[in-house]
Amino acid sequence: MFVYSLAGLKMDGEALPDQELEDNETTARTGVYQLLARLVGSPDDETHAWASTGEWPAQLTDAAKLLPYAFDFGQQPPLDEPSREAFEAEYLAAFEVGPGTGGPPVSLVSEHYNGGPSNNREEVLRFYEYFGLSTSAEDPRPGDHLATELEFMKFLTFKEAVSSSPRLRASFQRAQHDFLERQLAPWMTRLKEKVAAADTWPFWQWAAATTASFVLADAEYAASLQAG
Amino acid sequence: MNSNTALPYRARWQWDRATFGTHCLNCLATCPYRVYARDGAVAFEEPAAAFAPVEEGVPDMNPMSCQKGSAWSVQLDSPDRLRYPMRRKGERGAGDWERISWDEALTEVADAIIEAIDYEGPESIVFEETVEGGLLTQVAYLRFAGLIGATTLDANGLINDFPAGHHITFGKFSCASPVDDTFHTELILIWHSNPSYTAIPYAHFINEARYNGSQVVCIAPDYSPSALMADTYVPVRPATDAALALAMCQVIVEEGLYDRAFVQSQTDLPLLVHPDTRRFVRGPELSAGTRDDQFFWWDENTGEVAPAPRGSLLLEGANPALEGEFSLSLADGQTATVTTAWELLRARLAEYTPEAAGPVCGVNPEVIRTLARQAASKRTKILEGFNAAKYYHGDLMERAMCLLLALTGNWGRKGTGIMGLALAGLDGYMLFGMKQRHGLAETIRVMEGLEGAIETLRSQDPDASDEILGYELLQRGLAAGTASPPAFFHFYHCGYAETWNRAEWSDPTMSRSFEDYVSDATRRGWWGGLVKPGPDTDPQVLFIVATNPLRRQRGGRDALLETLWPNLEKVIVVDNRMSATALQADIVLPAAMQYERDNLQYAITHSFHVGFSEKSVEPLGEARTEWEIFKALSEKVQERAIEEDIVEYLDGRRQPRRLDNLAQAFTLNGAYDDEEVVLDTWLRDSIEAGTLPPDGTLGSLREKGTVRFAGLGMFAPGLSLAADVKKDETVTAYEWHVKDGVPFPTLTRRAQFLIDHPWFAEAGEDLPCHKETPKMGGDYPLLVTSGHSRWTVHAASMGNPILAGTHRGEPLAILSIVNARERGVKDGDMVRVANDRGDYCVRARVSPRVRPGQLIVYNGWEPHMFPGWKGANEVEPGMVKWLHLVSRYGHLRYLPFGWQPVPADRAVFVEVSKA
Repeated sequence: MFVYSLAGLKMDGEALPDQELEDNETTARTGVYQLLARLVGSPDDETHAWASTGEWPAQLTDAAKLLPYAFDFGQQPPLDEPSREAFEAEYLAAFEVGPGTGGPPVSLVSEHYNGGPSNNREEVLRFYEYFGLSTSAEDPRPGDHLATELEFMKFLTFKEAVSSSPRLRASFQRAQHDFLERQLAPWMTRLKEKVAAADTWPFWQWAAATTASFVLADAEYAASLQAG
Repeated sequence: MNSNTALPYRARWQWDRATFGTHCLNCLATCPYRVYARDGAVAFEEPAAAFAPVEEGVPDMNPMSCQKGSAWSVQLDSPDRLRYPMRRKGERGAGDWERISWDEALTEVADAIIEAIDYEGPESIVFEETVEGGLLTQVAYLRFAGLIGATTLDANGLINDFPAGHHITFGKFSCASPVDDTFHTELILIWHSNPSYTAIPYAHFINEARYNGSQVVCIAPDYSPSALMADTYVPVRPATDAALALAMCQVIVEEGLYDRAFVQSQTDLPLLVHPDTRRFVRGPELSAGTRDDQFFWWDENTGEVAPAPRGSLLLEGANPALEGEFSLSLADGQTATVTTAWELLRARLAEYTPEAAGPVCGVNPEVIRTLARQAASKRTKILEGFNAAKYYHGDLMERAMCLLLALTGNWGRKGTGIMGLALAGLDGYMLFGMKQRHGLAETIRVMEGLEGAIETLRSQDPDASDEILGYELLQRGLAAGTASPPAFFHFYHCGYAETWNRAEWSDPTMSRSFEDYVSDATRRGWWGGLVKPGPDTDPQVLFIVATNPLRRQRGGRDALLETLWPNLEKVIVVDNRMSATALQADIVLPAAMQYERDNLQYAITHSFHVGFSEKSVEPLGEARTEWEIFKALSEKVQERAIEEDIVEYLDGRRQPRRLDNLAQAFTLNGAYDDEEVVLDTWLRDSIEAGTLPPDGTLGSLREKGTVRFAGLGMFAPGLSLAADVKKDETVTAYEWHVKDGVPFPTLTRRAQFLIDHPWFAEAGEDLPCHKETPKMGGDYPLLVTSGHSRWTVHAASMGNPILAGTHRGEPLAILSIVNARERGVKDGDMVRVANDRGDYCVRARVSPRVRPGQLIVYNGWEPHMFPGWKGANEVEPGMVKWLHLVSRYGHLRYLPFGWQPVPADRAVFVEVSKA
C-alpha cells in the first residue's frame, strides 16, 4: 500500500492529508518520485541510514516494482565516510555551496541550466500555482530545485491516481508530459554530465545520475502516453 | 559618421531591459513588438518578427506592425495622459478638475453604485462594452458588472462592426480565414475595404498573392489607396454594391457558370417553397408531428420529395432539384404545387441583368460580365472589412456578396471566403467566469459540466452539430447575464425614438413607424429579458472603460450629452488619456497603458496567434490596471455597503444578490489577487481545452512573444471558424461545412438566402436585393463615406506627436474637384458640413481621387479637434434598420457581439459650403 504525503510543496487553502492508495502503475511512479525527491533533497537521518547500509537501490526497486516500464537503479556506491555529518557536508559541498566562493560544482536548481534567469523559475511557480500549490515556507529550497520539481511530479502522478474522472486523469497525464518535457527533462543530461565530472563522492554521483536517468525514462513514458 | 554625432545616436538606442509588447487595440492586429526600456522608462520599440512559418511555400506573417504601433511608446507620457484620479469641480465638461486620492475616488464611486442599487436597482448601472484595451481590461469591468447585476451594452451594437448580412446567411460572421490564406487566392476582391490604410500589418499578403499569380480587383467609389495594389479598379456608385454583386450573380446563373453541386449541398436554394407565400414547406405540412424546422427538397434521383438532412450537408447520393414545379400531398389531404428557393432567386436575379444593374451601380455591363466570369472560374476571396456593415442596407450588400461566393463555390476551400472578423477560441478566457475555485480540477469540472449540458441539448436535437449546440447553450445563459443590445438603451433613454421614427430618413417599404416595430417586437417577446435598463428604470451610473462614446456615438455627441447625461447621477471614466468622454465625466480614474502591464489581445483568426503584451515599466503616476481598479472598487463597495447596511438586494431578474462578499467573489477568495495569475489561468486552461499548444504558457510567451492557436476549443464562437487546425498548413474557414458536411447554424442548417419571415417579405428583402440608401440626414447632394484613417486606430493615437507629424494634424473632409469647384471651395479652406441632423466645420481637401457626389471623412478625430468641439458624427442620425429587430426566427436571435439592431453611420447625406 502506497502512502502519499506532500513534503516540499503545500496546498493553497486546505491541506492534503496523507492518503493510502492501492498500488498500481501510477502509484509506482509516485513512489519513485517521492523517494528520489528525498534522495536529492537535504539529507535526514533516514536517508543517511539507507545510504550507510546500501539500501537505496532496494527501496527504489521496491517502490518501482509495478512501474509500466523497466528501470534499473544500479548499484549504490558505499559512502566515503560513514558519519551523518560528513554525508551532509559532502551534499552541501557538491550541490549547495561548493568548496570555495565559486558556487557548487553541480547545481540542483534548474534555472542554472535552462537559460532565462527569472522567467524559468516563474514558469515553474506558475505551474505549481495552477495546480493549487505553492512552495512551502518551511522549505528553504527554491521552487525550481530538483527535489521540489520531483515533488511536483509526485503530486501530478498522485493526482492522476486518485482522479475519478477520465478527463481529469488525462489532464494530469498531459500536465506530467508538459512539465517533464519543458521543465524537468531538458536539464537532466547536463546534470549527469556535470555530476560525472564533479569531484564528489561516488554516492552523490550515483544519486544525481540515477535520478536524472529515471526522469528521462519517465519523460519518454509520459510522451508515449500522449502519442497514444 | 564622426564620434560627435554617433555617440548621442547610439545612446538613443541603448537599453537595459527587453520585453514583448503589443497594443491591444481594436485594429484586429496582434503585432508582436520588442519593447526596449532604459532606466525604468521605455526607450523605443521595434517589430519583433516573432512568427514562425506555417506552410511551406506560403509567406509568414512577419513583419506584423504599423507606424501606430511603432510609435506607441511616445504616448506613455503624452500631454493628454491621465496620471491621477480626478473629480470635476465645476459643471460637467467645464474642464475644472481637482486631484483626489484613490481612496476618495473609490469611495465616491462606491457610494454612487450603492445608491443606484438601492434607488433604481443594479441594472441602472450601465457599462459601455468595448474590445479596446485587451482582455484584462475587459474582464475586470465585465466581472464586476456581472457580480453586481449591472447592465453591459453590447460592444458590437455600439460600434456596429457586426456584419448582419453574414449572420443572415451563415448564422454567424466567421468566414474569415487567417490572413496567410490570402496567398492561396486566385482572385482577390478588395470590396468595401481599404487595407492599405486599415490593415497595414496584413496587407503584404495581397502583394505576395499577386506575385503568386492572383488577380487583384479593387471595388470602391473612390480611387482608394488600396486601388494602388490592384490590377483592376472598378469604381462603383456609393452604396450600390448589392446591385453590382447581384448582376454578377445573374451572369453566372444565366451563363450556367455556377457550381451546381456546391449550391445543392451548401445552400437553402434547393429547398421547396410555396410560390405564392414564398414560405418554405415545413415538416408539419407534410406529416403531423414533424419538426417545424424540417425542410424538404425534391430528389431527382428518386422523383420524390425528401426531407433535407438536418445533420449533414453532404448529398450522399441525393440529387436535389434546383429547377421546376412539384406537386405535394399535404398532411391535411390537400395538394400543393411548390417550387424551389432557387427558382425564386432566378426570378429575383432577372431584375439585375448587367444592362439593368449597370446604370444603378455605375459599372459598365461588360465589366460586370468579365468580373462574374472570373469569379466563377477562380478561387475567389472578398476582403470586406467592416465598412459595409455600417451602411443602412449593408446587410443586403453582404448577402449579395455571400450569394456570389455560394454560386461560385467559394468558401470552405483554400483561398476563398469573405474577410470580416472571426473569433479564435481562447477557451481559458471563456471558462474563467464559470470557475468557482482556482486550478485544473475546477477547470475540468466546468468543462465536464458544459459537455454534460451539450449532451442534454443533443438528446433533444441529435442532428445538431457541436457549434449549433454551443450557440444554443450560449442563448440559454443570456437571461442570467448582463449583456443588452444598446439600440434599446438608446431608444428608451437617449432620445433616439424621434430620430428613428423619421420616415423620410428610413426605408420606404416600412409600413409602420420604427416605434411600432419596436412595440411589436417587444410585445412578441422577441427581446425578452434583454432590454436593460428597462423603459421604466432610469440609468443612474454610467461607466466608460477604455472607450470613447462621445467621439463615435452615432447621432452625435449631443445626442448623449443633451438626453442621457443630465439624468445620470455619476459618470465614471477609466482611461489612460483625457478623451472626449473623459472631459464630460464626474470622476476619471487613470489606467495603465500597454507596456505598463501584462495583457492579452482578444483572440481573432486574422493572425491566429496570441497577442501578448508584457509589462516593461511601471505605470505612469498613480495609474493602475483595470483589474487593480475594479478589485479595489469591489473592496470599497463591500466596505461601504456593510457600513450603510445595504448588503442584500434583488437584481433585474428578482434574484437575490449580496454586496458583503463582493471582494471575495471578485478575486475568488484571493486566488486572483494577482492579475498575472488570471492571465496564467486563461493560458493554462486554454492549453487544457486544446486551443493553445502546451508551450502556450505565460513563461513561454515572455520568451517567444506569441504562440499559434492549436485548435478551436469547445465554445461556439471558436467553433464557428469550422476548420481543421494543422501545424503546417494555413487554416481554411468553413472547411468543415464543405469537406465534412457539418451543417450551418441557421434555421435551415444551410447557408440561407431566403428568409421567409413576414417582416422580410414585407420589405421585399426575403431574398438579397439592392435598395437605395434612405436619405438619412435629409435630401442633400453629397453622400459621406468614411472608414478608418491611416494615422490612428480610432482615436487612440490622435494625440501622438510623432504620428501627428505625419499628416496635417487636423480633421479633413476630402471632396472631388467638381464638387469643390461648384461650391467655390479650394484645398485647405474651412468648410461647413451640414444636414438636417447637425453640422460641423472641417478643413477641406480637394482630390481627384474622390468621385463627384462623394465626401470622405475618415474617422478617429476627437470632437475637440474640430471648431466648437463638434465632430463628424454630428451629421449622423445613427438610423437603425428595423428588420434587425426581428428575433426568435431560427438563427435571427440575439447573440452577444452578434445579431441585434445596429446603427448606420455611413452614407448620410450632407451639403458642403465654405465656412
